[in-house]
Amino acid sequence: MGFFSRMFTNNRSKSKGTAKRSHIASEDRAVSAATKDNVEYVQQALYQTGDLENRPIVCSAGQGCLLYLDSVCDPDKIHEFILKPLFAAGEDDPMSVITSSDVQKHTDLERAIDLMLEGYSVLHFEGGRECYVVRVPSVNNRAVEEPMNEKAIQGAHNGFIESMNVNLQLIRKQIGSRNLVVRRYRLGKMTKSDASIVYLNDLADPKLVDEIDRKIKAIDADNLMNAYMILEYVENQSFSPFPQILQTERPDRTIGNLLEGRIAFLMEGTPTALIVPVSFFVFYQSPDDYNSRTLAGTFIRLLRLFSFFIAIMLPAYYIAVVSFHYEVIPKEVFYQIKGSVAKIPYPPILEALFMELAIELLREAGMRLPAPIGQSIGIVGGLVIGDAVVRVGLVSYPMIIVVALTAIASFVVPSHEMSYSVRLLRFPLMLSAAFLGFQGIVFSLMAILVHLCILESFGRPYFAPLAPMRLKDWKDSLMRLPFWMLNERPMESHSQKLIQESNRQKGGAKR
Amino acid sequence: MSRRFVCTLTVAVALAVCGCWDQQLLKNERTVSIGGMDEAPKGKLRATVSIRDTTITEAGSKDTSEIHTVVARSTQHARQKIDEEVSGIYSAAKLRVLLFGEELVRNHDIMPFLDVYYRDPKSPLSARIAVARGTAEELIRLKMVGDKTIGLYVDDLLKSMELDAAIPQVNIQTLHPLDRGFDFSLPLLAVKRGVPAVQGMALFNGIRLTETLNLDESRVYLLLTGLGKQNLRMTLQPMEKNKSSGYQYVTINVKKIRRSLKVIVADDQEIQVRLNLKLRVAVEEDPSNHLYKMSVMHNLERLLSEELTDNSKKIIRKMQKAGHDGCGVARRLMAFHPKLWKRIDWKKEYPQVRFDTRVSLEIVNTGITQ
Repeated sequence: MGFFSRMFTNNRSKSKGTAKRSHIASEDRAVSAATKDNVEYVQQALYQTGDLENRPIVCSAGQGCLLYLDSVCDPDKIHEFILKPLFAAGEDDPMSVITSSDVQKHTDLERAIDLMLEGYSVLHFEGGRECYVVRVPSVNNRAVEEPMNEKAIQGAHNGFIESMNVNLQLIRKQIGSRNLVVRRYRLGKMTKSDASIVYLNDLADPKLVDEIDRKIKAIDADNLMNAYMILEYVENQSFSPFPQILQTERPDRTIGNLLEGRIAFLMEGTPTALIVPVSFFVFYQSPDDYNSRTLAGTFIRLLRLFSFFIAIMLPAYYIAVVSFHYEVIPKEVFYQIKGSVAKIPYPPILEALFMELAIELLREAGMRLPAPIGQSIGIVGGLVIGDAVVRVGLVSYPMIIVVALTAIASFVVPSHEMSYSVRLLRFPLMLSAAFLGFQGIVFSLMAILVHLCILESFGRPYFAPLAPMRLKDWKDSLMRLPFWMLNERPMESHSQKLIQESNRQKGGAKR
Repeated sequence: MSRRFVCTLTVAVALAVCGCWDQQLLKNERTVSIGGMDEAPKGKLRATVSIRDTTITEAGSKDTSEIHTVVARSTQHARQKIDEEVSGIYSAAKLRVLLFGEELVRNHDIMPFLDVYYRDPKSPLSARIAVARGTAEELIRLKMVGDKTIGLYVDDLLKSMELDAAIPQVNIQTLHPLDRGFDFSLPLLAVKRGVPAVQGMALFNGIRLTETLNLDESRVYLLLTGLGKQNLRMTLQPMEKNKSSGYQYVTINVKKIRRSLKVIVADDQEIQVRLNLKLRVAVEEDPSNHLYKMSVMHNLERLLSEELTDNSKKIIRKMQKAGHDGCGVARRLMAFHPKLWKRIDWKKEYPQVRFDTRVSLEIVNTGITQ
């Protein structure tokens, strides 16, 4: 292990030096009576930044100056909430005149400077020992559109955006309970980003909330820009191929999980909620299942789970068959397959790796390009290369079918993260199939199964309704039974109340 | 790089690579679709195989067949010798039909030639077995029939006849030498005007062919030995044996068979077999009778039962004469009368066994509606 630790910690000595210098200027500094002194101090504290605006004010309340950062404040709001009322009013206290929803009085200039960075403007009058800090942020939100990567056919078509407050609002709008609790954090010593965890106080496991709280507070890093970085910090097993935290951009999916006793993590600047603890099957649930009828929902969910096996096993199975166990092919199909592989110069594993990598390349290329070009890449890649490669005789027809089916199956997963892990997992399986045939596949699948059973998401079993077996939870994990049959919440989230619906109400009809 | 790392890597690579010797790439294999064994001088084996190749193009697939004949000491030796003249690796894993020349099975024990099929894990245990009139080589040398290769053609031919319940389902697995107590029978093929055709059945006494049956007889034989199935069709001539107007034939389709075989040993020495066959049949063709009348139908039932009983008796006599115990009487004796079994010489005893054969028949359907 000495090798790896040297590799990963080679710049430790450098980073130690800067870490010591970071907290020098955060001592208190009282507001001076002279406006000029204050302005100079602020300018120095912000290192003469160019977007610091200084507007002198002379009105009936006195002579003073308004300081704000041009880049985070809205000039219209400054005009509307501060300047207009100030000039219109007489000699009243500015606190009673300014119409912004958040006006504070501060005597500590350092505190005022911190607030300035978040979209407050600072007003100081000559001779005063305190300053007024007024909230006038510039807000620039995009619409709450349906997320591109998690489309639903039926159901809500809104999605999270980069503003955490809007996202919280989307959640609160749906959950009217006063048990919905938001805990706020400030993360990153330099970035100071807003973050929050959201949970239902009467459902979520308090121990788990404390655990997450501890983990988030324990992060000691300069830069925490988005939720995906937090994810890696708090995840238990970063090197597992399976994601242990569900990412979703859909409010309805988040709310559904909150109501099962899970905890969501939101962060300013990230249009995604991270949900813990999750089991493997949560990644295969889609809002569409709940918005369609039970039979259709169950069918589609089973299809998705089946696609997991196709996506990781089909190429491996094909390779094992054509390089070790061709006698298992039924005799009617045998000569068709044999006829098409007979003149291929490469062993099947190379064929498969070549085609799989080509598909991954195509996917990546199509994603990076704007939509109109992306489509033509798909056509060029899929049709032209696919056809030519067979005609030249580098790859056989069955291999094309196998690879295409596998690619389709891997995109069925409703979670992007899981889709990645499924695509990664099939490479070791293909290699073991090429080395050891069916035995290789069995060994690899055993390893995967053991890993799934051992894996935990925040202390909760990852393979939940299967590996600690609980048949009741199959109702909403493998299948999707009608809502009136889902009387209990899933066990794996350890919610405080298991019953979510009672079917014996007084006066109610008996089923 | 620690030593542990190197060790782990070595073990991992060794584990991964140890399977490579077992690799059998499909693209390198040449698979036999039909194989035949004939008699060669000095107890040697004359093996003929047809290797089927398919080329897939955009216009579709095209089959070709390649015939090789070698004279060898044993089956495995024949495989080696064929491999010497075949490009690619010879493989019998997809063998569909194994043919024996008539002369070979009349004069030789075939079990030694089958031995290798029971040892190889890739052995085609579901390959059908048949006997070819004349030599198997002659039949395989037809190479292509229409646009089907000979292997595919014979396999499909046997399969369709099995579905019609005209020949028994026999494959390499059912012929296993440890399965004792009854004698097996194989379909009999012949080349008829340049086309392979099923001619009937070959009955074996132990491991030698001793008697052949035509297709009519073989159907009754199947019913008697319990190998018969639904949809077994027979065209019989219940009355007016010498008239030839086209009105005298009746075709029946067997819907249900109830067969009881009882082996009775009287006084610890005389072996008697009581074979009762109850058939429920549908009449599919009967130009002369109007079966809506119950009396006519019952009359027909009686006549057909009598004819079938007569036929059965003839076939049982033929079987006894040939020393062919297709009903598995020997197995019953082994199981239920072991003392007697040890005492007697079955080969001598079998032709003397008294068979009491009775066929009764019931018409359950006469028309289209089932």
